Amino acid sequence: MAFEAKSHVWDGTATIRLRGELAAKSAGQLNRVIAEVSAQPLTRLVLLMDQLTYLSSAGLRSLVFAHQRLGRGVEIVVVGARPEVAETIRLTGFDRSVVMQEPV
Amino acid sequence: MIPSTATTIGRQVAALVRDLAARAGLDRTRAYRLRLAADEIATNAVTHGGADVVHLCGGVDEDRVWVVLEDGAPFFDPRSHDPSAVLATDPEDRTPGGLGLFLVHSGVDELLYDRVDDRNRTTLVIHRDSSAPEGPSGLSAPEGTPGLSVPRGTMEPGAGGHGGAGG
Repeated sequence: MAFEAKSHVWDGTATIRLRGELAAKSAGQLNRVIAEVSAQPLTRLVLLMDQLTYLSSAGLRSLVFAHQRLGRGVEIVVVGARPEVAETIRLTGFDRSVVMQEPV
Repeated sequence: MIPSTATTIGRQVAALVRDLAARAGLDRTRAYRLRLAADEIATNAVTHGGADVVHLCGGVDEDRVWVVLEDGAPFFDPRSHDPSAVLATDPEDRTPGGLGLFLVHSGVDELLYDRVDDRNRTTLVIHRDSSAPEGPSGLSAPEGTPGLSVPRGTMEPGAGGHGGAGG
């Protein structure tokens, strides 16, 4: 499935909605969106993952990229990750560096 | 075997595992882990090993579902790398690399490797019965499924047993 990452920024919070499969071919696309939103002063990055159906290590590296680009002062929140995607995040310890939330 | 290039490998791994999972009745979670592990091995061969093509095949027998990947990249035995090292680093401070191998090790019940004719042959095995003991104990190679290649000599005793670590 094709990958999409749509973003908007409001009041210091950048929200990126991820859709499809985040893997080696699509991670660069997400990194570009992260770089774009990080040009503005942010306090929080919200990643909406309810429509993300696949996450490989290349996608996890986008989380590393986000941390390094935004710095430690910016909270990263993952919302609505599907069970398999959430398992990958937890298994690799990224739940220590991001806040995992159920969909609102 | 199915030849895949960098542009098609992800899609072809997904299609192969989807077919194997349907035939074996694998649940969604374990099918996902097998796909992820195969995708990581293939992506690693292409992006880090410089392989132009990765050959794929797979099969199902009474107890196991397996995927075999072959590539012409330089020698790389995924069993010889300690994937847990990457987890010791805070996520914010990680350097790229290592995560994919961790997902391979943790996602499958058996991880097997052979160097055959200057090619890397990696075999990923999921037990159909999740309560089956992990790791081979005098296992024989999976018997062939019509139309699918069979990994030969990939089931040497003691070669597996990496599965389940951390997951």
